[in-house]
Amino acid sequence: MSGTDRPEGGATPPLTPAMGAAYALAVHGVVLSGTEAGWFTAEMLRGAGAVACAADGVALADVRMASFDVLLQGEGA
Amino acid sequence: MSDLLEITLCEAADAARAGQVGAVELLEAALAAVARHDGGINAVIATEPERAMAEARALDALPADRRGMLHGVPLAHKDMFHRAGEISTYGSATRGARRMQATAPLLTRLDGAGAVSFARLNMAVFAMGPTGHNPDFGRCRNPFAPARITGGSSSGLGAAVAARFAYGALGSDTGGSVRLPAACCGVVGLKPTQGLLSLEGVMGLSESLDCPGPIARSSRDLARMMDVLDRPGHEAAVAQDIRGLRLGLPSSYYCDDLHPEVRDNLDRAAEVFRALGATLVPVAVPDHSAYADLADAIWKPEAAALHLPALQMGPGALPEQARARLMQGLATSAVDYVRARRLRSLALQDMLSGPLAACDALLVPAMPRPVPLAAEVEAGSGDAMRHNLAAITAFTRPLNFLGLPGLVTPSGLDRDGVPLAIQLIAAPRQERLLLQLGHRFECETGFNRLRPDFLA
Repeated sequence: MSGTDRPEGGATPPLTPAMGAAYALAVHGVVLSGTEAGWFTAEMLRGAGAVACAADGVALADVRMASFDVLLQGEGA
Repeated sequence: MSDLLEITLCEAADAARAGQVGAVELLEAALAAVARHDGGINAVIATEPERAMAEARALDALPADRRGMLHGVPLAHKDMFHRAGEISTYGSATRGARRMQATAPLLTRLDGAGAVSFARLNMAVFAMGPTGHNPDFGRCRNPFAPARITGGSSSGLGAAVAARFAYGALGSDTGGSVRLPAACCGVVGLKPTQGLLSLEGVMGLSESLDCPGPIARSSRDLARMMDVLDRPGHEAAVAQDIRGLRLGLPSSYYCDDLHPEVRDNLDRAAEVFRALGATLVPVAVPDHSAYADLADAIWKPEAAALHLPALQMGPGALPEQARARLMQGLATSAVDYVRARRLRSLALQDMLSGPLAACDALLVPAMPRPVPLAAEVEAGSGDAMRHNLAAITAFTRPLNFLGLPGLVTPSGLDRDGVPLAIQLIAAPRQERLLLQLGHRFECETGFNRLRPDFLA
């Protein structure tokens, strides 16, 4: 996975820019321009794909977010 | 003293404590330097000469036994640290003349040690941007090469410390914002362990990743600041020998696709450490290529939540790039936010049980390429923006995701005379070790004492 993954041309995204714009307005109250809607929708898919890829096969059920702070306290003087 | 602003922070503080130079004299020199040179650099948003001069006069009247570790030292900070009764712009002209109600505890600590905080420094709007561009206050220019970026978002810090306007500065680092300006401007920057320094009274961007950190002209100067900002012991540690310490050279990610000048520079830096007695060990590093996206899944929704009212106001309420990046936060689901936070715990565990168990610190470049031209990286939105940001922050953002401390120190100049820098990475709360390594490297090479041509 890289920071550049995104749906390639030819693939039909399951989410269109119009649907992304409708989501941004209905859920967040943010009006997007046509260009912004394309970017927003692509990012929604790309970002979700990136997290899904990183989480693939990882047992996250027993991991607690707070364990991060515990690990940071474990070293040093 | 002939050239007050050429001496180091520690030398200035020690001279002022001994009465060899006055706090007023140091402040006047700093204010004069800003007046003389900032027109070409644009590091300073505003100075606070009246309050600062009153503080300096009071410090000069103190008896010797009441003088602190930073007595009389002029400092300047990223314009996001609150001081009661004063303005804090967060790098945005839209905040107007709103005055802060309370002073950030970190500034209170610096005040208590005798520092004179006299200027508020340029930064990316709301700390979003690693290049030094700012449409409201103007682009901050690199003192070594004005056409190059300063790095950001603490752009004014790298420039002001390199230009000898201030001996040190306090910034914040969410994806490299302390380390990148230090790397681009030939000074030294420390991102401490996540959570070590207080975020109270500091503009928020991402409470999970924000990390205050200092910039100065040497690791010893940073150690003096950390003795005040955290607790004593850092400056005492820098004098310790580094012989026998194991310095890890990653065999992946941090050595992939390096610009040839950066690779050669890193090799030379490694040889310096070897000559100083460190043992160089190759280490396998977990794949960090996903960490930028995972960090995005954490900080962008946190930042979008903070700036939602501005997003709802439509284009124009925020700079184009800030709006584009915040929109990515709106596009992140709560499920992915939680998954990224949980993956963060596992990633840190992997680093602690893997490379950071095999060595005392990692040595990597600060950036994979030389400092870019400002015109190369000013794209405001779209995929071009993402590519630009990714190229600049590739080696800094993983540390924010992992919460680990990192020190950036100059390692020479590229063929155009622009600074190059290395980054040292250690386990949590090992800031003293990083400062010790940085200090020995700086004493041996002197790269941190290189000066911009306009000061010659």
